Amino acid sequence: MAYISKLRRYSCRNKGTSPVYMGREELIDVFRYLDAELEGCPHTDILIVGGAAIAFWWEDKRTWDVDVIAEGFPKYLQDAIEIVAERQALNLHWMNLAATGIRLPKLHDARQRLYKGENLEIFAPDQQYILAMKLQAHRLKDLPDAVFLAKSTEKTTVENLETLFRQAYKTKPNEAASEFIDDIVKDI
Amino acid sequence: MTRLAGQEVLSSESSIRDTQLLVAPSRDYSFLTIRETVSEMEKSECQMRTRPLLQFIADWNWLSHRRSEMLEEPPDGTAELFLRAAAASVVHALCDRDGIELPTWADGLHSGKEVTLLGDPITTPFRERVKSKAPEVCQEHGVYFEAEEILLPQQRN
Repeated sequence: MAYISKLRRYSCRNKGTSPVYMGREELIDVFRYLDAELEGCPHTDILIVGGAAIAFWWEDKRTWDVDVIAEGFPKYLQDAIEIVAERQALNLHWMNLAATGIRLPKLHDARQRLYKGENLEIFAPDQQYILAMKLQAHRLKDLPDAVFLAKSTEKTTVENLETLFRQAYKTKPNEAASEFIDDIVKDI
Repeated sequence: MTRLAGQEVLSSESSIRDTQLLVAPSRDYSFLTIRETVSEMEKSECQMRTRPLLQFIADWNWLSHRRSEMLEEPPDGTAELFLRAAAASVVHALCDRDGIELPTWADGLHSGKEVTLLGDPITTPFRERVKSKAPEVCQEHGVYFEAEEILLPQQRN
């Protein structure tokens, strides 16, 4: 298929291929592939968060994985994910459950549909929801995404971000989260 | 229609248990070598430069039998010093954890200043906190990241 050469952006060598950093367009491509692999399986809804969701809103964003919130993947889905990884030269963790352990915000979730196919639909929570998750995780690697989301949701002051945190987690940010918020505002 | 178990609680007050071990790979896959990692970092925009290193860490953790191949070639010596030092810091922490000999190119390679893995100087409380939570060996390279970044999947909670 035409997508393959585009997805294989990095050099292929005898031992295999390197991973692919995906933007919105590439993500839609791999969702199509996954959709096709799921033919004959139950129609599946998937909720994603993190960088893959952000890539749908931020043109410059690239991600190498798709974080799914779920208790586990059914075998048919795991098999399809692995087939797509193999055929499209994606990293084996391209769709994973690594975000599942993160404490979820207690916010109204204005869920958006990012992809609709024959066998598969992909959804994401709204930007504010994902920003709240980033504040709660307050990891160094999340800082660029948090800055983008803060700008995009117009939560550009310490007060705005602390209020969001309190709404989401019913408590004020701890010291580490407050420091993270300060750095977001500095970087805006 | 199948809605994956766990998704229905998105707006509820409960958190979801970590089940990522359920998706351990069943086949062998490609990986990023440290040379490729630094090369990819050079091509990335500033704010995206850590992504290849995070990929490298994930590959290292999942594909334990390919680690020697991942370190086979050193990064290009003409690459920016910060990028090579960042790679050295990550490789050192991983080798230290897993009892693997540190490649000579990484030994003592320092960025010339104290920075986070994003390249920012350690000038804010948040960055100081990152430094305080970094693996001890990061000091040798002047590039800091949270130790939890290199946790094995089964160590995460």
